[in-house]
Amino acid sequence: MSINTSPADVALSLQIGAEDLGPLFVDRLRAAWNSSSPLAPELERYAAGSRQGSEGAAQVFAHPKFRTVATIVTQPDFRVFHRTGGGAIPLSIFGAYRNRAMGTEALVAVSPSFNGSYLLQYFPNQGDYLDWWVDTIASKVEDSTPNYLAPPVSLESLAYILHAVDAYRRASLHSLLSYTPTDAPFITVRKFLETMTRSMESMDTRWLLPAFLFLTPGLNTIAFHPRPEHMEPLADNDFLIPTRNERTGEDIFLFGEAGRTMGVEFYRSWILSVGFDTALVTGEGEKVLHRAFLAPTALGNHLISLDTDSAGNGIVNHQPLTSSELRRKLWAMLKADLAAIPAAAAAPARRPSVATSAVSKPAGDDQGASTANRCPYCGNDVSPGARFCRACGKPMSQPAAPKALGFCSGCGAKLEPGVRFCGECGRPIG
Amino acid sequence: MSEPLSAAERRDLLAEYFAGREKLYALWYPGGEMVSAGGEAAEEPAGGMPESPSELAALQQRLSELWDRCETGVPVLPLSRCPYTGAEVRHSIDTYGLDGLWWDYHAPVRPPESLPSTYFALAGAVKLGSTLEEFPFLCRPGPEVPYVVPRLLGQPEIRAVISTVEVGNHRAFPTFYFADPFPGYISRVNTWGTAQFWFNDEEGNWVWDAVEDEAADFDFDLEPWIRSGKLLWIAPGDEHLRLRAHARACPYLGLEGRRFPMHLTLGLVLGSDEPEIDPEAAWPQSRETAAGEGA
Repeated sequence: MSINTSPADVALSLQIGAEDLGPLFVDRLRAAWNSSSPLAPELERYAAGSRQGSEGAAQVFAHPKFRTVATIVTQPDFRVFHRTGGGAIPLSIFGAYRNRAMGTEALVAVSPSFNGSYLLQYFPNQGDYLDWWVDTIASKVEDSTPNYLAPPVSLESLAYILHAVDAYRRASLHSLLSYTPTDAPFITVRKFLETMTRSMESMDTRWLLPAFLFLTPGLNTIAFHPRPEHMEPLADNDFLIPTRNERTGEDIFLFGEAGRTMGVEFYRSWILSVGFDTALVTGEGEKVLHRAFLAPTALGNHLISLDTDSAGNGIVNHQPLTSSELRRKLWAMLKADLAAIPAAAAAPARRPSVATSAVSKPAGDDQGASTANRCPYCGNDVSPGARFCRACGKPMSQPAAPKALGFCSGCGAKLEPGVRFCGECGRPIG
Repeated sequence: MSEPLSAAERRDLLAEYFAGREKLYALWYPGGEMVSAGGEAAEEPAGGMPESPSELAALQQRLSELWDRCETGVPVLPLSRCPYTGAEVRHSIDTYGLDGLWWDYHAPVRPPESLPSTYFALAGAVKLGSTLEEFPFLCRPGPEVPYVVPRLLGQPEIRAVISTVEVGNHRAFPTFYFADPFPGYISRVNTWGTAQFWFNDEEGNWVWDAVEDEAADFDFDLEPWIRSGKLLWIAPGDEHLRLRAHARACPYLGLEGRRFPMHLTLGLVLGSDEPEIDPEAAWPQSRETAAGEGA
């Protein structure tokens, strides 16, 4: 269990051991959670009061930002789910969450950490989150590069083209391993199709096509029916040039300009990829808003955004972006997604399971379990005098009529009802 | 939406329009005097005096109707595709020939366009065929070889797409510029074949501006722009408008033709080696037929 302020854009990092999740969130906080919470599986399994938290748990609990972080990750109304891996990187996942009811722009990233613990990283606003995201994942590229796969492209054609990029690496490796240098690498048509089938079945994310198929969330929900005509962009876009081997008479593909350029690019500088999707969390479940795959290389951040046409067929928009273009694109995506979060409450929260045996409260715990009030909206316990329910965020009392709250304790200015800061001196109210 | 004009309808319409316009000009400018509905001409106009002011008004009304029919009858065709969104771009263009009012540099007749939000500008070029139509207006379709405008395409937010469309017996190369996001205000280029360009200003008003031809605005060396990813192309005849980014075998490289903005009128190409040419002063600066040698 640890707290630290990471450099750059992460305002706060909390590392919480799996064994402390229950004691922290269930016993101390009495948090409720929805099914989109990354902690839901652990919290579901935990029987209230069945474990004592570690010494670090109290420290985390006492941190002034912990409740905000806890509410966001247990009851998100918006989430971004990532699968990272591909190339030379092992597979991993992480998510980013937000809760609009908190009245803050903050996002919290949650990722599994060592020894089964969880790393929670708090970003006070989406700008900081995106800066961290781009710094961590994207390539630092500032020059434009040709888009050999300009939109729109069908999902099936994309698969053929990604395999063509892989095929260049395969041909290059073959040339290396057989000590046969060549200026005109090629692959037989038969081998191309045969290895494509094996590649897709293997899900070996060291290759680009399987990395795309495996890492992109929800791809199995999109229709995928490859047909011969989907291979046309291979020649049209100069990835592969169909011809005949003069010596053997066999049908082969030579690599065209796009095939060579992207082949070399990915062969030499593709290290990792990330597939991600964004979703609203509602009472009826999750509604996916965007789905994409990113493959950064030395020449560009290849962002592949997925969509479907009216017939449900997959359509992709591929753009090789500079770092600044990528950040701008992600910002626009996030901004549009967050604007779609309805003002109503998120998915109904699960209440923690009732303890079968009493748990003694640690000293200094001022969030005591005994309460005289319940939230009229979600039924969760509410501390006496609390202005908002910590579970669903609804206000606990509605003033009958606007009235002045008094005077600022800092400068003495009269305060208007509902203000959070003094309009004269800026002092926080309440 | 009105039906596009057929070739025969267009021919008859243009014949009536130009005849009527000639008569109207003659009535308006006989020795510099204007004939108004309530006035009298000092001299006998070349086209003959209208029998009554109402005939003049009727002539004006008829020309206006023909103008409107030209506007609604010009084809709107899929010509390009946005490299950022993949959206198809449909734009009006008179594909029957250069003698239509769509190509009138000073008074183009074009319908309001419905363009993607990423549309930024439209330039173009026309490789003249064996026969140049005779039309009584100035047509400025660009050079005969496609080009790009460096001060636009050099902006990091802008990309361009070249495509091909047949216009009568000529081959036209519309070049659409797209922006994502839009850069801060920069002067664009006059919309292909016209004397101005339209855009939304910072307050959302639909306004126009105009630029003069500058030599620096014509870069015919397209290959570096393709290789840097700034310029994409659509193969001639590709009905699917597939965007291509490779320079190898690009059909728009190494084309022959006049590499200066042409001035066409009355079946003539008014040539000049310099792109800085005053359209008014170019009449007639030098003359050559369409089948003659280029500069």
